[in-house]
Amino acid sequence: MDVATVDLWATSGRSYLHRASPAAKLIAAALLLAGVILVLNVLVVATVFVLVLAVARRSGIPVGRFTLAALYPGIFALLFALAQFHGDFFIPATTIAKAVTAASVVVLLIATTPYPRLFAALRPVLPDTIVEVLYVTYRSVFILLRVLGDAFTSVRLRGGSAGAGLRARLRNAAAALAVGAVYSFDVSERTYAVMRLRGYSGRISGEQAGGLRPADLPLVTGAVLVAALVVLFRCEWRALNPFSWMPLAAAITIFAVALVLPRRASPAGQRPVTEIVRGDAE
Amino acid sequence: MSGEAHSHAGAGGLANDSADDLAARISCVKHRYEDGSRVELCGLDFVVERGQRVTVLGPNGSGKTTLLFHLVGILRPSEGTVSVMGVDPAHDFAKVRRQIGVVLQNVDEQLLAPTVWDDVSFSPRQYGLPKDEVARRTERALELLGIGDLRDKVPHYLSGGEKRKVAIAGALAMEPELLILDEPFEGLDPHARRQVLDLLNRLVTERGMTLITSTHDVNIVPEMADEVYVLAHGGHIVLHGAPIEVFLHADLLRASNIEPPVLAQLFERLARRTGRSLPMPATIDEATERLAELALHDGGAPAVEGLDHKDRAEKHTT
Repeated sequence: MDVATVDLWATSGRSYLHRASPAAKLIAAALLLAGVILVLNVLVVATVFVLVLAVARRSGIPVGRFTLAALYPGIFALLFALAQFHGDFFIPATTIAKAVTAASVVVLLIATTPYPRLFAALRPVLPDTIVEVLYVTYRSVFILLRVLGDAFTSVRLRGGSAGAGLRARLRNAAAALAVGAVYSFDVSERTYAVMRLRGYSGRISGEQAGGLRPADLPLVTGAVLVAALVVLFRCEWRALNPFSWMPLAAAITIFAVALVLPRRASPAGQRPVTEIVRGDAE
Repeated sequence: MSGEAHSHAGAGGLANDSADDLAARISCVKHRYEDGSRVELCGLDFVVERGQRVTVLGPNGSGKTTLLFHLVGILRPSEGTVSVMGVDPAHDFAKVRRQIGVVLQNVDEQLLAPTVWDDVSFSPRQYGLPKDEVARRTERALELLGIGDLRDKVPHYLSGGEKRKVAIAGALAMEPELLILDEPFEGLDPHARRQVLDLLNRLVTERGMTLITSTHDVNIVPEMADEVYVLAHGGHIVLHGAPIEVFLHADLLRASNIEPPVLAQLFERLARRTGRSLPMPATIDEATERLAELALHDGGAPAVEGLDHKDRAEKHTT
């Protein structure tokens, strides 16, 4: 799985979550992440993870590949957990579960929100320059991915990765990377020239992701409820821990229903990323 | 310019013309790239009048793109002069860029925005047009190119032809007076090529837009240009005139590594074989007409106006 796959999920999806405003998704993700950081009960963490899986499933994202993406941080958490292991499995399990669940929340966010839309939502709190850099980076990443893909394909087709020793293959791969690096400088210069030709004069005008909408209410409410549940288990853990299997069971049921329910095609197309606002006249 | 005889000395023939009548002019521009290679756009002056369709024809590496880059101020000449809409683009392009639409050869690098709609609306937004005007221009440009259904798509998932159409739509969104297109038909299938060609010709006719294109596809030139400039290797401008006039100089074209159009070759060979002077057709329809006429005459002498064109073409040899 690569950046392009996640981007494809984000840009081609038409689910409720895809259509929700980036601001609402950022709020929901922040609430869930805060909850995951706070909670100490591994079953409650697992509850959040299963709920995220259910939402991913209903958003048309392949659950297997989604889980795989979320598992990457788990590998590093495992190393950290092993270092902390003192015969008790509870703490390492919680550490790994927290890492994987937090990652799943972020993967769900970026898999349902095109990258530029996400950063447009952050425009009010980030410097313009940063937002514009990120805006332009989006297309550049895909241009460079294509160039690197072509370079590696070329290396393979010309026998650069077959029959040769590891050292030779690494050398060929490095050469392909070097081509990509040199190309990236060229691309950046040409892109800047093109931006100037198309009217850029120091500021990209008019990106505005839009604020919260009434349609975002279910998403934010759901996130608030999950976060409230987590906080409750954090504050009243002595009383509630014996019942922590219950939210997990409910989450598994929800996930099972999400698996069984047929997917619905969304009637509405996705709006363009840019909500036009009047920019600064040159 | 076409229709009048030109000598080599005609290179400076328009020097006294008012800048208002000219969309662009390049006079012996020399450019040295960082790797040491040089392009010298000398020989004949490159002159484009307002409302003209001008095509720069040349083999790979002849300097077509260099010429266009000088027109839009991306490159700065080490010698010579460049003027576009009355200004030096290397210094004052900002003064005229609003009137100029540009599509460079690699469209992938020109699509800046996350969706097609966002990209086509990029320039109108940058120039601070009101929201409804941005929407009107963007929708109009999408409609002109027939890509309204792509408006919400992400550029990097489009085909090469679709990307080119999006880039052209982005250039047209500002309703430019001058449109500069580098290899505009690359990656387009025959149907899309015809669609874009018809659109460009219509915009030139209806809006009086000036069109400067570069290509190495000679067969399409008669339909897309009033004037043709032929570049040889190194950027030397060796030939200039109306397409039919230029294509009669098959020897000069071949010397510049350009194969004359199929129709030109056919009629050149027919003329050689039959010993008759056949007027050079610009289109397949014209060619059909001429051949039918020839068949009907069957022994009679067909019209002999074709050779006149050859003398009209302005040429420059080293």
